[in-house]
Amino acid sequence: MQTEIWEDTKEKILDQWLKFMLERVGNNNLPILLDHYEDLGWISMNVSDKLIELAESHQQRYVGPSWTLSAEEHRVSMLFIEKLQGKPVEISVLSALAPKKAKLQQIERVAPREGYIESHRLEKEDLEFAVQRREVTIRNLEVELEKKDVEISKLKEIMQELEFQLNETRDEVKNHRIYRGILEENITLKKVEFYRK
Amino acid sequence: MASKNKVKNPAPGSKVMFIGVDLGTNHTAISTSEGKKNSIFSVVGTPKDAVASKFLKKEHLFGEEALTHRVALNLYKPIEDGVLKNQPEDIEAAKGLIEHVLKSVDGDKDKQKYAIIGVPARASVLSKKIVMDMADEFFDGVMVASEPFCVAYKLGKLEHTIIVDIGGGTTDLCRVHGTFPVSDDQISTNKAGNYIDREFVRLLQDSYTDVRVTLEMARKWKEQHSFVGKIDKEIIVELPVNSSILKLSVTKELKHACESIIPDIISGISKLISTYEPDFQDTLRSNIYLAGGGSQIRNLPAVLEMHLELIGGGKVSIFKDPVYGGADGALKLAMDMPREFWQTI
Repeated sequence: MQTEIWEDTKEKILDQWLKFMLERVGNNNLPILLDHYEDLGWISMNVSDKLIELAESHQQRYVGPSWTLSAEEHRVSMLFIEKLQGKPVEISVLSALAPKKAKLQQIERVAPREGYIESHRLEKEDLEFAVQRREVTIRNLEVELEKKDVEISKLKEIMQELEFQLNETRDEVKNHRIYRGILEENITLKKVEFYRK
Repeated sequence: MASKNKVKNPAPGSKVMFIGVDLGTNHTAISTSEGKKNSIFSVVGTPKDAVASKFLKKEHLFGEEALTHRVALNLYKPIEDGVLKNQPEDIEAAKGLIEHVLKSVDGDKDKQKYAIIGVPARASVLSKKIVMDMADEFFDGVMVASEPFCVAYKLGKLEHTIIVDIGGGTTDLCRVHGTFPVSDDQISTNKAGNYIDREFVRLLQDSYTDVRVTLEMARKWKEQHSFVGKIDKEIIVELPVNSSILKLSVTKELKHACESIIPDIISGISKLISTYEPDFQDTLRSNIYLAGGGSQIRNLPAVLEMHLELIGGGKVSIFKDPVYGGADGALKLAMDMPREFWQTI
């Protein structure tokens, strides 16, 4: 029973520490800060992973300017670690915190698994939207194409009519040349004078 | 569009009649824009004496009627070998002929009359001038045009076509290529219907001693039986020999007589093809049309095609209306002629 109480307390302390770190470096810089603590030997890789996992599961996300903390802030982190290790640390010391630097990001986060689904859903919606847009575009192009086809057939009809007129005109010119030939021959004949002996 | 300048709708009140005339050696055909047609033999007869005049009760007889009473008449055939003779009596006879055929189609009424008269393809300037002057008094406007060209115009074959018009006096060949034909496009030969008649008579006289055959008889037999090439049935006619009538075969003589015009036709076609634009020679040789009375000779297209094989082949067709082809073509030409052209003439 005592173990369970301690586990709950540890969870709460972990949450508090995580919140402390997130409020100062943000989710974006948290992995670097934890790497730094790992390098210093303050925490293990397991703790680091757990903290990152925990941070990802939070609804709220923080965006911080840098992973760096002041000496005082590092000292508070050390106190949290010591408290997690079961050492007696004054709560007041932990609550006397330096000012927060990270800003709360307005996007609400869902649980990682649901996030993937959501992102897939969004992506799917985006793709569907894109497909829909393409379909609309294709439909528009088809309508445009039909219009163009109608225009082309009208132009073809006009072209045929013009060709027909051109042929008619050519025939007319040809015939006119014939009539003129006959006329000229007959005018020449009219002008001819002959005398019977 | 093509008819906007034509005299197809005369002004109200003014009656216009267009006329096409084929003044042929044997037949004179007339065709009018009112749809009337007539064709008669180109023969005019005047009574020999007062007795004949009293008996016939006419001063002039024309066509078949003149031939029927030829014993009592002085006969005039004003057209010889396709050309109007330049003698006053022949010109008067031709005038009578024109007046007669014109009257037969109501052309003597008070109308404006515009006519085109078909003349042989290579008729001389003098010949055409005589025809024109002779016909001038009957029409408000008159022109002459090449007879085979008139046929081509009627056919609507005005490009890459050869018309072979086998008439009574002349066989006219005309190459039509979209313009009015010039002298190089036309060939005329005297080997035509009358030549066949003369040959037929000569061959019969050679074959049968003492046979008495006139050109008139030969012409009738020719019109009934003419052929070239091969036929299945013998042609038997009643030939006067001395004072008897004998039924004799004239098949060989008629065949030879009819075939006597073929060499000149082939030679003419060959010349017209060989002097034509090379690109269109094949089209030209595929568009050969026979017109005139001679086109009715049986097997003629096939035999001509057979002869043409020796010079690269050819397609020969027959113009369906041998009697009125020339007159109808002249009429069509007269109707299509722009109005201002008639006023000019």
